[in-house]
Amino acid sequence: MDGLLLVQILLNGLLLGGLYALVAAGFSLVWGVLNIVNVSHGAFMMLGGYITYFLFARTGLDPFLSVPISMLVMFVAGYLLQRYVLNLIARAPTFSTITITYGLLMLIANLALIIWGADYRAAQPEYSGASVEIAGILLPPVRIAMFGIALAITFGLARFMSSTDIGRAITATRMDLVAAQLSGVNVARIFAVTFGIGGALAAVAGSLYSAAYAFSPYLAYAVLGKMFVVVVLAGLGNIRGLLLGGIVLGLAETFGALAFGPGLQNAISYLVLIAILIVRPTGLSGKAFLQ
Amino acid sequence: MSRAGLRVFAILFGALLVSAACGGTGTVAPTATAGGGGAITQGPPIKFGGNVAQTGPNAIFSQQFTDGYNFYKDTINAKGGLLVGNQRRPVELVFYDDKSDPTTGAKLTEKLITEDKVDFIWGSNSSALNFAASVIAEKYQRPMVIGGGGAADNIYDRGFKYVFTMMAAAGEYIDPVLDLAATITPKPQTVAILSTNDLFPVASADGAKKRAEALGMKVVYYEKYPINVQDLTTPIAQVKALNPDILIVSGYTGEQILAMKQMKEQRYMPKMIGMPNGPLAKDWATTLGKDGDYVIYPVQWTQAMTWKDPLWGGSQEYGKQYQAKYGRVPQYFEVQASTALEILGLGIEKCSCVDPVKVRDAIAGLNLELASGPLKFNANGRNATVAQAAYQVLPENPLAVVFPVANATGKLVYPIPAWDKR
Repeated sequence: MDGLLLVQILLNGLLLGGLYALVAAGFSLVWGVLNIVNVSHGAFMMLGGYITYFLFARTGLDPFLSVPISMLVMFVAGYLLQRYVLNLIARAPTFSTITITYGLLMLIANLALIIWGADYRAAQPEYSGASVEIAGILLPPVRIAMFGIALAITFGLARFMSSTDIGRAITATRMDLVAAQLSGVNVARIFAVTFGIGGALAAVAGSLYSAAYAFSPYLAYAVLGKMFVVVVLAGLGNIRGLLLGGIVLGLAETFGALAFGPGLQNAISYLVLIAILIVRPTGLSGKAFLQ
Repeated sequence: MSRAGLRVFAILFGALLVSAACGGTGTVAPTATAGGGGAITQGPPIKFGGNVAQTGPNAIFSQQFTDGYNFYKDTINAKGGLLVGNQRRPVELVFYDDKSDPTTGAKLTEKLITEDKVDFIWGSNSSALNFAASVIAEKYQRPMVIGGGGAADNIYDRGFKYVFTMMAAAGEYIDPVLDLAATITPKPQTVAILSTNDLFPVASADGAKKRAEALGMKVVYYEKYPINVQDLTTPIAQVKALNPDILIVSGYTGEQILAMKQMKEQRYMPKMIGMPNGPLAKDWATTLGKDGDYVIYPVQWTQAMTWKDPLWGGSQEYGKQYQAKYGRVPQYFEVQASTALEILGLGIEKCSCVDPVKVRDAIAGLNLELASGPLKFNANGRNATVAQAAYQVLPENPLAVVFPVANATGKLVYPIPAWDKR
C-alpha cells in the first residue's frame, strides 16, 4: 500500500470529521440542555443549504458570506419553534420529543420537496472543487475551511457557554432547572435561545455543505444517523468533544472503506456507535451520557 | 401572550401548508381521454389503458411517458385508426395514476380490465410497479407491453405469456459505453466499476463487468457503496492509485454528482467515464456546470438513430414529428412509451382481431424495426435484439451522440482532458 495514499485517506477522514462535527454541534447542544432529541436538526441544516443556494444563484453571494444570513434566519426560526411549539412539550418524556421532532422533520422535508422538488442543487463558486497540492497530498480549500469553521465553532461555543451571562444561564439550566429558576433565570427564554442557537449551528452546516456538495430535501434524513454517532462519541452536551467525535467517525469511515470496502461505510458508523455505548457509554472524553 | 403568539404561529403555519400544497401540485390524471378524430372511422374505438405514476417518487418522467402514449394515439388516429377486418377503428386511451404504489397500480389495472373493459395494457414508470401490475394482466390474459420501467429481470422470470417489453435489461444498460470503448485504438485495457448497492445499479454494474471481460478488458476494481453515501474519497483514492483507463459509476444522480465533485478535489480523471442516468437529469448541469463535461452516458435510444418504423417512418422522423408537436427533443422514455402502444396496435392489425389471446400470439411473433429499434421477442417477452446508444456531455453539446459510431453527432473526446487542462 502506497504511503501517500494512506496520508491522503487520513486527511480525507479528518476533513470528513470536521463536517460531521459541524452537523452535530447544534443537535448536541439542544439535546444536552433541553433534553430534546431534535430529530429535525437535519431539516434545519437542509433549509440553511437552500438559503445559501438561493442567495448564490440569485445574487451571486459567496456561500461563505451567506453564512451569517442563514444563521440569523434559522436562529429566529428555531427560537419561534421552541417558544411557541416545542415549549408545550418541554416536560414531556424524551420519547414524545423524538416523535414530535420526527414529525417536524417529515413535514419540513416534504414541504421542501413540494416547493423545490427533488432536484439536486449546489452553490458552485469558481473555487469549488479546487485543491492545493503539497508534497503530493491534495488539500481542498473549501473542505479545509469547513474544518476550520468546525474547530472555531466547537471551541467558540464552549467558551461562550462558560464565559457569557447567557452561556452560563444555559449551563445552569442544564445542570439544575429548578435551581436556575430560583436564581432568576427565565427558563422559557433560555430554552428558546438555546434552540435558536441550535438552528443557527444547523444553518452553518447546511450553508457550507451546499458549497462543497450537492444536496436535495433528502439531506434532512441523510445526516440523522451520523449526528447520533458523533454525539455519543463526544459525550452528550460535550461541545469540546464534538470535533474529536467527528474525526473518529470520519477516520473510521475512510479507513473502514479502505480495509473492508466502501460497501460497509455506513455499517462501520453504527458499529462504532454500538461499541462506544457498550465500552464507554460516557463518550470518548468522559462526560456522563444521560445524567 | 404566549397563547396569542401560538395562535398566530399556527395560522401562519397552516397558511404556509395550504399555499405549498396548492402551489406544488402537478397535473391531475386524466381518467379517460376521448379518442381524437372520429369522423373518418367506420368502426368503434379500441381502448388501450394503463397507469402512469404521476405522483410519488417515480413521477419524475411521468410527463414524458404521458406525452409518448398520447403521441401514438394522435398519430394512429390521424391515419384513421387501426385496420381491423374491413373497419378503421380509432384508439382511445384510459389513464390512471398509480401514485408510485405497486398495490394501487395492481388494483387500478384490475379496474381497467374489469370495469373499463380495456383489453390492451401498457406498463407504468418503474420495475416495481410493473412487477405488481403485470400479475393482473397475466391473470386476465390481457397483453401488456412495458415501455416505461421494465428493465428488472424479475418481471420476465416468472414464465408469463402476456408481458412484453422492447427495453434493454438492467444488465445491458452500460454495454454501449464499453462497446464504444472497444472501437477506440489503442483499445482501453482496464476498467474500474463503482456501484450504488441497490438492486438496479448492481444489476447494471454486474452486466458491465461481464461485458468488459467479454470485450477482453480487465476489471481492476469493483466495489459497491451504500445508497445516499456522504463520502466517496476512499474509493476514488483507490481507483486513482490503480489508474484504470475507464471508470464506471453505476448509481443515482446524487451519488454520481458527489463522485464528480470529489474526483475534482482529488484531481482524478480517467481517460473515459461512464455513468448511466446522472447526466440525463437536469441537476447535472446545474450542480456541476462544466465540471460535468465529457462523461459518457448510455441511453437506449437517440433520435439520431436510423431505424425504420411502419407508423412514423423511422427514428429520426419520430423525433422530428414529436419535436414539432411537443417542442422538445424526445428521449428513450417517449419513444418507448409510443412504441409500446404501437406494438399493441401492430398485434391487433396482424391478427386483424381484438381478441386479447390472439393479439398476444401476434405480438409474440413480431419481428421488425420500430422507431425505438429492432424488435424480436424471446420466450420471456424480452427484446432479443436490443440496440442502444451513448451520449457524451460535450461543452458545446450535452447530448452529443458518440455511439453507435455510424450515428455519431459529435466527436468523441478521448482521453478526457485533465481538470487543469480545460
